[in-house]
Amino acid sequence: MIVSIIYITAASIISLYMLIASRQNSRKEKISSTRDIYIKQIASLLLNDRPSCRNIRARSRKSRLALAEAIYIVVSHTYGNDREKLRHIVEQNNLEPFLLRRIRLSRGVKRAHLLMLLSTIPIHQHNSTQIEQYIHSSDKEVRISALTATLSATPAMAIRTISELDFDLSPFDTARIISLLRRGLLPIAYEPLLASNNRNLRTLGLAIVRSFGIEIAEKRLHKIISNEEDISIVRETIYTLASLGRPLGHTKIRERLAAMPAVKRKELCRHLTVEGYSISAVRSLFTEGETLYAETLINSYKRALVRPTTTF
Amino acid sequence: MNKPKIVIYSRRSATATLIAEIIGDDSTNIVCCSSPDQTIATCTQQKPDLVIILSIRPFIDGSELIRRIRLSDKRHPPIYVISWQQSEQIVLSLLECGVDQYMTFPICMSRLRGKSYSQLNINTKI
Repeated sequence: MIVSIIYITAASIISLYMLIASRQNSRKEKISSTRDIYIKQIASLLLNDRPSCRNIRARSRKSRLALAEAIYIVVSHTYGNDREKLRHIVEQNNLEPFLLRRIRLSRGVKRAHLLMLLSTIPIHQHNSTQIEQYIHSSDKEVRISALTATLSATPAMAIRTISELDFDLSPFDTARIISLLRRGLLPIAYEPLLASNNRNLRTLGLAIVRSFGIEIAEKRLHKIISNEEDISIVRETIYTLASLGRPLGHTKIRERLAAMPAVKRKELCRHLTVEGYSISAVRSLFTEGETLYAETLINSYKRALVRPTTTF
Repeated sequence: MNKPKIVIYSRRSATATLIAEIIGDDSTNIVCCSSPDQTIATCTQQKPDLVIILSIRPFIDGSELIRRIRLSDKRHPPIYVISWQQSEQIVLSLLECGVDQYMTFPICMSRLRGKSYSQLNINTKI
């Protein structure tokens, strides 16, 4: 009797779970098919400017969210779009107040996702103050999403906004800001950033040099290595020089490397080996033991896995 | 006249939809694939005039996929790769494998459309 009750309870729990899962899946499929329709309409509007595409309407809460996601996908994958056309869609469907309200009511990952959607939507500058409060959130995802949304809303204030941050930008954070630059939304020059004393601005400057392969910045990078007190910035600068494929045999670089912890040195040694620096270049920077590690890495199968040229 | 055929491979349907909308119109026939095997099978059956790959991952798909597409279709259709990857090594290895064009996201919609149109026109003339 007890066994049969257990079986019936288990079966009903499993069937209930399957029902919920199938309903969630069908809801997701419906939203994604709506989003795909909006993507087609937006891309068609931006490319062809057909009058039939101008009237993009989202009437329900779910379709508004699907429209915001569609705008995010189109804007994040393309550049040089007409912002006025996008603004027209946003205003026509009240997307800005809709997203701001949902951001207020949500928490955690959901809030970060909505802020990310907001970062690709042309919003009014006066609403940026509402987003700025989330920059001070304890949730890392929320604060970087809020930062990108603020930067895209007020690009002219970008340097001030970044310099006033109360946390250090991580490599993932800088990558998010770089993606704004690549879309042409953030007009920032790398030179004042490298000259700045602010850690976040300097990190962003180095990320720009690395991402866009700005070789003329080499002199400035050497200057940072010589004068900078923050060892993490020095390390970042050496990585930047390595990504540009520049020689690293300068006395100052060797001195700064010698002062680094062994773990960080090994990390850099591995990076340089993978980047294709010759063993003589590695030998001039590292100790005999570390050079031996680089040689082993070159001769190992592991390196073949790390280097895409040999595996692709 | 036969419509030019384009095969798009992307794991994300939204990205494939966007690219299909950019390069496609009434005069083109576009097939979107979501897995490497499906892409190879489609290339073998359909004999496309242009292949666009939007998902490049080391060890899973990438140059292995391109090599198999090249083996499946002896006509050597042009292959475009559009990806977020910026690593010089990855780009070079893809070009060595036979990729004709490598572009990084974000892309300019009108430029991509113009490029694919000119490529398809060249093919139809041949």
